[in-house]
Parts: sequence; C-alpha cells; structure tokens
Amino acid sequence: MWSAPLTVYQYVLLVYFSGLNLLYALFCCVGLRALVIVFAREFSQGSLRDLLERDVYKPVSILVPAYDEEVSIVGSVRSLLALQFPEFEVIVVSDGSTDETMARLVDAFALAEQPWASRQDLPTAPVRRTFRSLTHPNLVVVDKENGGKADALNAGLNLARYPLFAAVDADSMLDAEAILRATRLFVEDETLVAVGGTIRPLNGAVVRDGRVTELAMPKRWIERFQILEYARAFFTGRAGWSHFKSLLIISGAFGLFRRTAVLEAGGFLVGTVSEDMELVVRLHKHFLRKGQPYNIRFTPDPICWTEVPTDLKTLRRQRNRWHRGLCETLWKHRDMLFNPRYGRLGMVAVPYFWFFEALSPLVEVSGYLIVGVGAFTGFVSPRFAILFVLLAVMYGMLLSQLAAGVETFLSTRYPRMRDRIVLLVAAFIEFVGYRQFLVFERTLATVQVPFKKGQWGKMRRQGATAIATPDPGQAVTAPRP
Amino acid sequence: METLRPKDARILVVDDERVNVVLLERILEQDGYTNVRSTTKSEQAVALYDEFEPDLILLDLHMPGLDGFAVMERLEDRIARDTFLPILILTADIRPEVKRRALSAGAKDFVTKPFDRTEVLLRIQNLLETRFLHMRLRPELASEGQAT
Amino acid sequence: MWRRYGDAIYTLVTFAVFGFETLALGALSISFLLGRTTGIASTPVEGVLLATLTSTASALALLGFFLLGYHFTSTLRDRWHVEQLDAWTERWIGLALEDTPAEQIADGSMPRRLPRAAVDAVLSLLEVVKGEEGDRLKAVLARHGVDRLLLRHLRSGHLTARLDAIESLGKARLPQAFDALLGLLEHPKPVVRRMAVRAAAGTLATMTPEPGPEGPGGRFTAALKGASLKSGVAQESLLLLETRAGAVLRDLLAEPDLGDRLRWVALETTGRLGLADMAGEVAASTTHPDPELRAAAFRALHRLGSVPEDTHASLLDALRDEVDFVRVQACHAAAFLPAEVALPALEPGLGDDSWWVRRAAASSMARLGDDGVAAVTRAAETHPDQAAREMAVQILLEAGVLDPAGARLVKGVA
Repeated sequence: MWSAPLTVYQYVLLVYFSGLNLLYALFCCVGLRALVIVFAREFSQGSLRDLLERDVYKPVSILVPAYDEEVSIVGSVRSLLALQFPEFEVIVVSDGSTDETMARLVDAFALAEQPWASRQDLPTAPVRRTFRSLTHPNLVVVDKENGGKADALNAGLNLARYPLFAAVDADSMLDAEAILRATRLFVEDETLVAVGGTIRPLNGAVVRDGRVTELAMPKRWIERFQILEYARAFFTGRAGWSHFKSLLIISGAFGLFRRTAVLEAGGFLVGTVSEDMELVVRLHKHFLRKGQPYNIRFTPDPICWTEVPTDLKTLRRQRNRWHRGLCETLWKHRDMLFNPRYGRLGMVAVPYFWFFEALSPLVEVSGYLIVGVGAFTGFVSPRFAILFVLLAVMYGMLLSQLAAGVETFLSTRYPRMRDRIVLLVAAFIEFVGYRQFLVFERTLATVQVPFKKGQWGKMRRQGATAIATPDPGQAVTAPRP
Repeated sequence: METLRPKDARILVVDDERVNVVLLERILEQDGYTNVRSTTKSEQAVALYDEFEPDLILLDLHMPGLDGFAVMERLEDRIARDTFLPILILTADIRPEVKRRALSAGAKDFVTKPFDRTEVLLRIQNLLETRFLHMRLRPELASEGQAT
Repeated sequence: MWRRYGDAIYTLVTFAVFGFETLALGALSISFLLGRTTGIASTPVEGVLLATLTSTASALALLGFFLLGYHFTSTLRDRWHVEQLDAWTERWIGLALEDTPAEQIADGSMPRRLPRAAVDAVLSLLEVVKGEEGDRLKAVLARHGVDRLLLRHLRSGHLTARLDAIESLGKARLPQAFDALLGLLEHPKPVVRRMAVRAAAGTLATMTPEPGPEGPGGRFTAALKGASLKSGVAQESLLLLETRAGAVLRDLLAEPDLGDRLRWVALETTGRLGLADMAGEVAASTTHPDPELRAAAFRALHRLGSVPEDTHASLLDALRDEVDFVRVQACHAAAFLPAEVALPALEPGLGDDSWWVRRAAASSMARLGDDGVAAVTRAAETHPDQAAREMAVQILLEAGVLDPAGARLVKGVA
C-alpha cells in the first residue's frame, strides 16, 4: 500500500538531489572563473592601488547598531575610527541600551550632546539624544528608544550624510582597505545599488594592528567546519548568483549600500529577524517593478573577518535565527515565486531558495526517515539503505572539498600543509554529525517560523572578544535525501 | 665639534614594496651613503627610529596597516621640538591635497613615483645638508636664547 | 589575491567530477525508475548504486590528491617565484644604475626570451623609476622582444592571456602599445574594454605630448568618445591620465556634441583633479538643459574654488532652480562669490523646502567671512522658519563658532 507513493517520493528525492548538484557544479565553475580568472587579473594589487590613489572612491557612513554592548563597544568604535579612509563617518545607534553602553561611549570619546537638525526620511522609535564627539569629528552617537536592529539602522540612516552606507556589526573586523575598495565599485557603476563582500572566519588568525597577518587553523572542529561552510557559501554560491545577477543575500556583517536607493525602497523592515536579506530582496523588487536598470553584486575583494561561534549552543541559536530569517523573508515576498515579472529572480533564484534552501532541511530529514524506516521494516534492503546514505554523505564531502579547493587559490590561505590536510579531513567529518545536527536545528527553525516572529534572540558575550552573529546566510548547501 | 659629512648620514627607508626598498638602497649605496637601514614593515619604523636614530627618513605613504601618515604621527612625539628631522615622502599619489596633508604632517619634501634618480639624490643631499647645518648651529642658538 | 596558475586545471577537474557525477546520478535515477515495478531492492539498481559510489569515491580521492598536490607545489612555486623575482630585480637594478658592467649582462648570458619573473621584475621597477634609468629598462624590454610578445598576446584568442598582456602593458607604459590598447576599446567583453582603457590612460600619461587630433591625446579622446564604457570607468581612466588629463578634458569639454554622460564625467573629473584654469570651460555647462549637468558644473566650480565673472548671473539664477540638487550645488559654489553678492542671494536658501539646500546655503554663508557668520547667527536667532533656525545653529556648531551650551541657549532650550 505504501510502496507506490514511497517509491515516487524516493524518486523525487533522487531528482532533487541530482538537480541541486548540477546547479552547484555550475556555480562552482562560474564562480571560479569569475573570481580567479577574471577578477584576479583585473584587480591585481598594483592596479587597485593606482585607482585608489587617484581618488576613486565615495564617502561612506558606517552605521553601528548596538544593544547592551558595554563590554566591546568602545573597542569596536575605536577600531572603526582608525580605518584609513579619506572621508567617512561612524554613526553609533544605541537601541535603548539598559547597561553602561552610552556612559562608556560618552567617556571614551568626549561626547557632547547636540540638538540635531535631522531629516525624518524613515519613521523610527523616538530618538532621545544625539551626540557628537569633540575628539573625533566624524563620530556621531544616537541614544534612542528600543525598536530593534532594523529600527536602529533606520535611525542611523536618517542622520547619514554620505551617498553610501555600510551596516556593520559591532564586532566584525574590517580589512583596513575593505571599504575603500568596495566604494570604488560604486564609482565605476552608477547603477550599482548594493554590494556584498566576503566573510571569512577570524578564529585562529593572527591579528596585528587591526590586520590579519597570518592564518592558522583553529583548534576546535566546530570552527573548522565553519571555515568550510563560509568558503562554500561565498566563493561558490554568492559568486555564482552574482554572476547571474540574482544575488539575494548580502551579509549583515559587511554590506555596502547606496543610501538613496535604500531610502527609496523604504529603509530596513522592522520586526524581521533577517533585515539585511529582506532589504536586498525588497531592493530587487523595487527596481524591477520600477523598470530601472540596477545592479546588486558580490565582490570577493573586501574581506570582512568575523569571529564565529565556538560552542554548539551559540551556533544553534545563530543558525536557527538565520533560517527563520530566510523563511520569513521568502514568505513575505512569496509573490515573487515563479512570477515572470521578476525575471530571472522570480523564476530561478527565488524558487531555488524556496526549495533548495528553505525547505531542504525538511527534505533531508524526510530522506533519513524514509531510508531508516524503510530499512527497519524491510521495505528497503538494509544494504541499499546504507549504500544510499553513504552516497549522500560522500557527495556532500565532494562539495565541501571543492570549497576547500577554492580557498587554496587565495593568497591569504591556511599556509601549512597540515592545515590543508585538516581541512580535507574536516570536509569528511562535516557530513557525519555536524551537518545532521544543523539540519535538525534548521528543521526546528522552519517549524518555529510562525511562532518566533522577529526575535533577535540573546547573544552570549565572552569578555573582551564578543562572539559575533553575522549572517552569511545559507547560499548553497547540499541537502541529503 | 666634529664636522659630519653628509655621506656619513644615517638614512632609514620605509616602504612596503621590497623592490622599492632594494632600489633605493642601491641608489644610495652607489652615491656613497654607507649607513642605510630599511624595512618593509611600517610597524617597525618607530622602533627602528629609536634604535638607529636616522638623520633622514625616506617614507612611502600608502602602506598596509600603518600608513605614512600614521608613522609620521607616531614619530612626531619622539622628535624633539628643535630638531630638524627631514622626512622625504616617496609616493605615486599625485593629488594636491595629499601633498599638502603630508607636508603639514611633518614631511619636509615630496617626490612622486616614478622618480628620477638624480632628482631624488639631489633632494636627499639638500635635506641632509640642512640637517647638519641645523645640528651645528643648535648649541649656538641655544646659548643665544639663554643670553637674551 | 588569487594565485593565477592552476585555475584552468582546477576548473577542468571540477567540470569532470561533476559531469561524471551527474551522469552517474542520472543513470541511478533511470535505473531506479525502471526498477520501481519490481520493488526497490532490485539488484540492477543496487549495482548502479555501487557503481555510483565507486565513482564518487574515486572523484573524492582525485580531488583530494589534486588539492594536496596543488598546495604543495604552489607553496614551492611561490617561494621559487619570490627568489627569482629578487634575483632578477638585483640584476635589473644593476643594469639600470649602470652599476654592473655591461659585459656581465651581455645578451649572450641572458636567455633570448625572458622568464616571467624577469619581466615582472622589470615592470615593477618601471613603476618606481623613470628618466635615464627607466629608459634603460624599457630598452631591455624592447631588446628581448617582450613588447612584441605582449602585443601578440593582446590579439590572442585566450581571455586570460589577453588580460595578462593588458595588465603588463599597463605597468610597462610602452608607447608602442598605445594604439593597440585603444583598439581594444571596441572589444565585446566589458572587462577587456575596462582594462584596456585604464592601461591606455596610464601609457598616455608618460608619452610625449603632441597637440592636435592626431597626437596621442587626440586619439585617446576620440576613442573615449566612441567607446561604450560605463561613466565610472571613463572617469577612472581620466583620473589615471595624471598630468595629461588637462589637455584631454579641455578637448572633451570643447566638443559641442559630446554625449551627456561623457560631459558629466569630464566635469566631475575636472573638479576632482582641481584644474583651476579650466573654470571657464566648466562654467559653460552651468546653463545646460540637463539638470544633472548643471549640478555637475557647479560642483566642479565648487571644487575648483572659483566662479568666473561671467558665470555670476547663471549662478544666481541656479540658486532658484526648480531642481533641488542643482540648488544645492549652486549654494556650495556660491561660497566663492564676493560676500556682498552671495549673502543676500543665499538667505532665501535657508528657508528652502529641501534639507540639503538649507544645509548647503547655511554652510556656504558661514564660509563667507565674518559677515557670513554674522548673517548665520542672525538667522539662528531671528529667522521666522524654525527649520532654518535649527540648521543655522547646526552649522554654527560644526564651524566651532558655538559650543553645545551656547547652541542650547540660542535654541531656547535650557
């Protein structure tokens, strides 16, 4: 009685599996070509330097939303102010912090309250006070009532003076020239509306004077797995999507936007968990509807280094939040699904994210269940079941290895042979345990979406080095049937 | 007081590109300067200054990490007020405001890359002569100040 | 940032692995479909499954070994390359400075065709030194036929070879490559056009100037007008012209039917480069029908720091322009008019609807000397529009004329 539908479903799983991997292969090759072959030659060190030395940049407002960050805020702001950039401002928005965040800022930067004549382009929770720093003329601090991260960003946007802005998480470390390089893209292409950079895990790296001087493999396996995940997500996934002009995700940790475009689209959406992804999707929608030429791309060049979670609990919460954010955004913009009005985005990218990203954990779990139950009840020969699972796992390893491979081409790569071997081993181990753990968490998240709307969740801080919760999203992951 | 020949001067070269450093070292060596130290790591510049006590610094502006401006800022605290420590900036940047900024940050002269060897050597010579003249006159200036 | 060798092989390997895998999976799917009538545990399916497993395992092994091998060889190769680069750099420096006797560097001892590291070393040196020494290095390139080789690669079919050649020529700045680079401005691929225009601009910057449309500057201008480049790229290339930019920009702005985009680029670049003697040419665009161009002209004048006498009238008109961003730029430029003309003209701007215009008007007024600051202070206290008063206070704060306590007093806030 069960055999027919089960068979069909298993067939569907197979096709799903194959289709995804074909897409993935395409991305790998496209990404590789775009990154290594073309980009590397167009922007070698020397030619980039030439351009930068000739004023080819645009000024930037850096928005830093902060909630109860007393431990790390001064250090973060200090390092942002130290960025070597000719013209920029840092706008820190304290979103109704209940701790010493404001007090520490006032002390450290000689803040003086200023009655501020500002625009009110976007509605936000009321702003209590605005401060300017007497020692750093390009630092502005806003104390407002709590409204969430998106609301804080909007408040910052209302005050921003410059044509571009970057929303940066307080504890990500920007490569010293990162922003400068990214703004050049906006000069070169006047239709560019948003740019996403590359995020790589900082864990284990040697940092001197605000720069990563040497990469070293971190000690914990959980960190090593994440190195692979980020490599996969950025160098293959995003590079590929960007090439096909369908980039849907720009990481919260490093994204550069054109202020006027974002204001036109309505600013950040309050009450959503992943406001950065939602904004990008809305930007696409806005300009596609308007019929105006626009561009949103990924660039491998500015690299943002960020601390990734080192313990399972924080990791779980982070991934849970990301997945909920993804589902929320997709659901909110469900009118784009298979809608030819939105071109490639509606017909390819959005469906991909629906079926291969948002729903993939469910598919995977169902696959495990079927194979498991089938083997148990004798419906499926145990040998077949085991072999099938083995195939799935090996396929995943293959994808992981490819990502590790792209990383090998970078100049800043894990230098030691030992590290390379460790990464390859990690590519194997990732699929026996870590991956399943995350799939379970994401399934949980999918189920929780209707209940946990817009919850930011608590972040665990560890003394001086806060653990960031950036959001590279889950651009390309391989589901296991 | 012993007369210091400019060729005895201690020169410090700071540039992140190894090629530039080697080239400058050879140019100086060929011209008779025997006391030249160099580094490609800008963060070592200040420590080298303390240790080597150069008479002239050849400094690149655009370097990763600590750039030329940052180095000059750090050196400012160390250079005594009445000392004339010439800093010669070598950079590919031609923008006038950068030049102005460098000169007001403590640089005494400015040369754009690609540079002409003869011109650079002449400028170095001028700066060193001024420095040594300043050093010779300093005790006299000091005593004169005290007298009045 | 990226290693440039081995990427072709890696792409091939990737393609091969995935192509093969997809085929295998396809076979699996088909056999599965065929086997569904007889149940899942049918042997043919299992056979295919085993085969797929084996192929995947071999793919994994292949990939793994390739990566380890690549890592190993690339580490060695990088180190070797650095050593070679250092060695050649020493040699070339010796030649350039005429330190080493010519016999030691006689052509006999040197390979006819220079290795990659040698060429890279020369190019790096050419970025640093010019004059006699630079000429000696350029002669080396010519003597070993590097220039001819690069020119040949420019016409090659392979994208990577072409891009590498353009990049090298951009560094070498060889005059003999100039026209070939200009020719590439018509290439279908955008990346080739972009790199070519940058390389051409860099080359032009070091060529001996020859006036007239037949000279290199003239040819560059003509090519730029005909090329389909994004305006940002055109701007970049103009900025790369360094000291030759003035002549090219003058040519561009003098052209009556220059496209709007290119005119905008020319105005922007003139402003950015601070070419003060071109204020007149820039000012001609202040009455252009397109508001973007009017605004660009005023922005350029602002950057140049001067407004020619005969442009005063159009500037005063522009302060009342119907487009807000034109008004903004006009306000900025007004800071360079004589105070007695500018101040009364800027006052209405304080009460403008647009926040940006109010800000520009107030800040320009504050820059017009003591009279200006007095005018702004007066506005802060007595202007009927509250928004204007607040902006005036803000500007005074930023200018350091008022401190926060003073500002609160003026605003009537305790």
